[in-house]
Amino acid sequence: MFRLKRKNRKGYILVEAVLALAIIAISLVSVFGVKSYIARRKKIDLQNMKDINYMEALKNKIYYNETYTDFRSQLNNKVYITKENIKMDVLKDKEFNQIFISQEPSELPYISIDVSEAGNVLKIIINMRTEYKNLTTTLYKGD
Amino acid sequence: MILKRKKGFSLIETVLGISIAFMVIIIILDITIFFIKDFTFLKQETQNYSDIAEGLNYIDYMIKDRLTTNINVNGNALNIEQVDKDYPSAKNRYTIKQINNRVVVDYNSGTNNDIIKNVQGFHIEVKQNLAYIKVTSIKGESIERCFPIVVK
Repeated sequence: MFRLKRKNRKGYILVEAVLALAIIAISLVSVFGVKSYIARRKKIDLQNMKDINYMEALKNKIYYNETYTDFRSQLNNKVYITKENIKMDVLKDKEFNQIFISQEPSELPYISIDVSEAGNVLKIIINMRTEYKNLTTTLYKGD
Repeated sequence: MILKRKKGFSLIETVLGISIAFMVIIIILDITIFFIKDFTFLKQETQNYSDIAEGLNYIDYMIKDRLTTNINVNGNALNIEQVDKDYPSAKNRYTIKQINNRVVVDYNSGTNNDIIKNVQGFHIEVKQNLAYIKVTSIKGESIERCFPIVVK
């Protein structure tokens, strides 16, 4: 029968040491991979929350602080809000005509606002396009 | 010369072995402590965000409640007036404000309940029919939301 010849040796051979190091390296890489995924996910979730709060504020501003006539002038015109203006402070301090532009921005994120009319009611569709998702909300504003 | 067959480890081997073991233990301990600290920080931060979001949801619920008849802002305090559910002729007045490190709902009867804990700042900014409420935790996390202050 075939028998392995083994020398009476002491210590580790190179393959064992390399294997041990490789196992430690793989474990560390996977642990730090998970860690970096969590950090990335956290950043995205925080941004999502901020975006949702901004959309809510924008919707409230249109609904409660703007008049029907103001928004009727935007009828059939798609207007956009650029990345620089997607901030709560800008929304608080500036008027709508100061933050709208008529050309579609090339850089994400941006918001598009589409106004259509049915009877005496304006249908306003607000859409936020970001790198990760699209957020859409619709509101109706009567005369 | 007669050479004895050596058994066991020499002193230098033992010292070297212990040193390597110590180094490995220190590295593992460092990594473990780093992860524990990071986890504790993340847990606290998530808890703070969650507390603030929940408190703001409560304010939203109170503002949009069908029993609400009047809302006004006085400095950094939000006053909400509601019809009593059981006695429609009676009015209940609530004030949402910051007391020390807490945001509370004050029932104007000598009692109040915490709605957000560990708060550093509670600021209300009114712009026409809207109130922008910004809550900052003691660790610096902040959430700002916009609420209508008109009853439709």
